[in-house]
Amino acid sequence: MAEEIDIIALQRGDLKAFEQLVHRYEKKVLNMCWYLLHNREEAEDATQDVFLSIYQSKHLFKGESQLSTWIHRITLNKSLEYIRRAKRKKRFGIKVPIDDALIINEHFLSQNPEESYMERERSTVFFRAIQNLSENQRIAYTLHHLEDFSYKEICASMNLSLSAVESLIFRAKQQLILQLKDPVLKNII
Amino acid sequence: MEMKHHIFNHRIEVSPSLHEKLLKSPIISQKVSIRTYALSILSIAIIALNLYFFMANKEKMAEEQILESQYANFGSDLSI
Repeated sequence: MAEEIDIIALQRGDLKAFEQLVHRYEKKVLNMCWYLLHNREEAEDATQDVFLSIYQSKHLFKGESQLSTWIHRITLNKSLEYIRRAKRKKRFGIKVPIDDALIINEHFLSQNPEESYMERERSTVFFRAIQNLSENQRIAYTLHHLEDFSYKEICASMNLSLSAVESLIFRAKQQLILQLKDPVLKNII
Repeated sequence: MEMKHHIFNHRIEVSPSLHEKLLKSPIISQKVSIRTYALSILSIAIIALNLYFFMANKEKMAEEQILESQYANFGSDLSI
């Protein structure tokens, strides 16, 4: 179902096919960027770059992998570019802010204010801890736990072997357990 | 199936303005390629111009060098 987009039309430069692709993947790409960058503005810029790259390199898609895998790889590479840019900026004393106040989703709204506050605090601590992981650990963990990628999909997106991905996720969990003091968070990792 | 904790369920929505921008990617792409093309032509033109002036200057400098050397007046005074 995910592969309904007419790839040949897309490669021909058909705007309708591109529009369809935007509709299908925009939310996924934006959220993937946001989970990796944790800054809405940066995530939106990265998303724009991703779709620009998709359009510019559409002829390079050979159909050897699924279209979604190809898009995920472009998203990952763009997000990495932004992460590295942020690191460079940090070295020069310019700090790229991390979104602390995470999205108030329906779950938070349905709770009482105290619970809601606690959840938001927890969420902030959790996402800050993810930011402290190494680049590859953060990507593998984020894709698996937040984006619901299977190990196989992560292997394809990160261009790594299955054992490497397993090891990255395992080490990320270990790191998070060490970092997080809250027993609730330790339980959900 | 294992129930996912809601902390993993944060999702942000695509704003209408971002959606519009994403749909404009083909136009932006076209603009970028035109700009890149124009910049490459401009760069080549600047390099060619620099090369031309460099060569012209080199020739002139070689001429001036001869004029300033001991051979500058060679043949002008042949009286013994």
